[in-house]
Amino acid sequence: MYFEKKFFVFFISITLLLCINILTAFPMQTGTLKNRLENVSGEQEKIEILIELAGLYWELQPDERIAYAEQAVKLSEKFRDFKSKAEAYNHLGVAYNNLGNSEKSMDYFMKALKIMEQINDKSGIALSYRNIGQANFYIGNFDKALQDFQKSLDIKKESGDKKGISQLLILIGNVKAKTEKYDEALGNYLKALEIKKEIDDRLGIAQIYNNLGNVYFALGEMENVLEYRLKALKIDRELGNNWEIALSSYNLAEYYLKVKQPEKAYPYILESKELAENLENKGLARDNLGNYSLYYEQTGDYKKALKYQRDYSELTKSMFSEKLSEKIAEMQVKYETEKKEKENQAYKLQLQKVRSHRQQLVFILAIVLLIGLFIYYRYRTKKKSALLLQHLVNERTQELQQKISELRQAKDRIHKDLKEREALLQEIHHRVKNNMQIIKSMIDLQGHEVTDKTTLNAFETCVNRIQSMVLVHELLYESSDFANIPFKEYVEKIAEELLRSTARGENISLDLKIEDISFGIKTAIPCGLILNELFSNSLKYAFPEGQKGRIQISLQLLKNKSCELIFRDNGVGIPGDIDFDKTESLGLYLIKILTEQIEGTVSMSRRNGTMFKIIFRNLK
Amino acid sequence: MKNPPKILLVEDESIIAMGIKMLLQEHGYKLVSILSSGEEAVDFSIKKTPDIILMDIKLKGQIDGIEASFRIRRQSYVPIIFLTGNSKLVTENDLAALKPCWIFPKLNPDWKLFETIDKALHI
Repeated sequence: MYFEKKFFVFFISITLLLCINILTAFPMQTGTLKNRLENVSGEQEKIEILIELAGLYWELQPDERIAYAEQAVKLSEKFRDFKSKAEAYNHLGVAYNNLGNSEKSMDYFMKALKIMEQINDKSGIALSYRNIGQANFYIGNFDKALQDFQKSLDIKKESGDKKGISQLLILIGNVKAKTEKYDEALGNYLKALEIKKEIDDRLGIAQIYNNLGNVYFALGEMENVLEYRLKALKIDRELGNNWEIALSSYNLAEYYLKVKQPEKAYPYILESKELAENLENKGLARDNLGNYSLYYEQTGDYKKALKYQRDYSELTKSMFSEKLSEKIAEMQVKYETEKKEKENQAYKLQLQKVRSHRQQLVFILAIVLLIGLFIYYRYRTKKKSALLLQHLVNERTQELQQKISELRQAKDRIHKDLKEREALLQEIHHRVKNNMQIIKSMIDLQGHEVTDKTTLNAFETCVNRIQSMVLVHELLYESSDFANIPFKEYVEKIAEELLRSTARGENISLDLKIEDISFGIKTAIPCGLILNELFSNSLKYAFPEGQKGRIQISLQLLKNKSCELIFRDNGVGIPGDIDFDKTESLGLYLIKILTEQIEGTVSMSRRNGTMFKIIFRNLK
Repeated sequence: MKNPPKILLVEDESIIAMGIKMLLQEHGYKLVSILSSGEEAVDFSIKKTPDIILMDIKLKGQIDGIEASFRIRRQSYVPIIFLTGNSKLVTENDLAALKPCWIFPKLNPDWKLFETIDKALHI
């Protein structure tokens, strides 16, 4: 009886610890959370709220918490949120533990552990081991429980979680106490107490006080028991934590029953029982049934004592059996095996991963190499083509340079040819001029043998005509331009030559107004011959007997690009009976046909001497 | 000379044309016209059908005596005598294609010209 009682006291404190650890850091009002759950839009947030609700051990009944936790499991599965799923499993484990369903509780804790290990969540793993340890402790597997707590403690030490470390020290202390290693138990509790004080965890301190009380209870040091249990209840009342109050009240009741002061025990039994029922904690409720039994036993009401004892036993039977413990142990073995297999698989997988990584690396290297080769090839090709291009450009440049030099040579040759031709042309004009000069001289010479004046006159006329043609060739070979004859110079030379040959220069004044125009040979020679006729005619007939006179010659370019040649003398004037169109005079006839040849018109006027006006075009 | 032949002279140098005209007149031939361009010659040949054409090679206008002769040949077989100082200006092929035709070098004696004209007229 005593053993059983003591066992349940431990169980209660364990359950409490388990719950506290999962408590959220920022507790929220249940109502607020429920409101938020209804209005939440994001699924992730919904999961968080559900988990928070599932963790509200003090405010909500286990069934309600289970409902929230199960919802959280479903949602987190949907979103593949493994950590949340594991947390929900932990809450389910705690809730079932609270309901006294150890099998389900252990199952959920292990599921949570599996997930935490898969996602390698250290703190989650530590928590899971702790929960499992507590479940083991609850069913009496103390060695296993100790192992689980130690694993959890190791992880907590790694992360330096002081609160976690202190809680685990308490749990280990519990195991030690349970296995009657009281000194070790006390050592663990005191270590834990130190940390709790350091982090000012008043609730934790109260728990340790209770546990110390338990150890002293077992050791029979009753003064210490009362001191610690009163201290614990004081803190609990200050904190207003019903569960703690229920637990500490129970402990005090136990103490007073132990020291046979049932009347002092009764109010505590009553308070603890009411609170346990309100919290629906079957374990504590049952333990209080035990205390009632003892109370009635000590107060002499054996009937009631027996009744409570029976109730106590039935509740105990319903909560767990021996089979359960075996089953749970089996489950754990199964899990361990599974885990080892998983680890093997994970190792194999890792090996495969390493292999596949290696293969991937080789593949990537191969690709990099290929790309490198390709780039190199491209570079080479580009370089080659650039070289080829350069070569082509060079070749083409050379070709072009050769062509240019050829062209330059050709140009030089042509230039040279042209120069030669010009020289030749000059030579020819010179030769023509000379030959015509010879003709003129021969006719001149012939004239010396002629005595008849008319014949001599004809000779002279002929010589003058030839002379005006000679002058064209003279001008051509003297000038650099073989195509154009400067008309002004030409007229000057004709006039000068005629005045010289007729020895009339002294009497005749000459007035030349010739625009700066050049004519081609086809126009220049007919024009020269026309002027020669007009000038000769004037000198012969206009100024008889050495009379003085004036001859005006003008040439101007008209607006329609025709040329207007005017020859005027202030002599006696051409006889009135001479008809230009029906003339017998060779001179006038020549003027007429030569004007036609240059596609011009000729008109004559007799006012103040004689005036001839010839309008013609410069034939190219 | 009854029914003197209608002779067309195509020559752009008026004084040379005048000389040839006087020469022909002295020997009883008569020129129906003196023209200075190839185009005029072609036009005249078609409209006035001369009996013989004395054709210089270098002429005024866009076409020369040979081109003018070819154009005349499309319409008429009037005999053509080319008057030229340079016989190289007319090729053998041209002469073959333009029959009946002759070349008369300008520097040859005058009587040779009349002989050629007579030969041409009596084909």
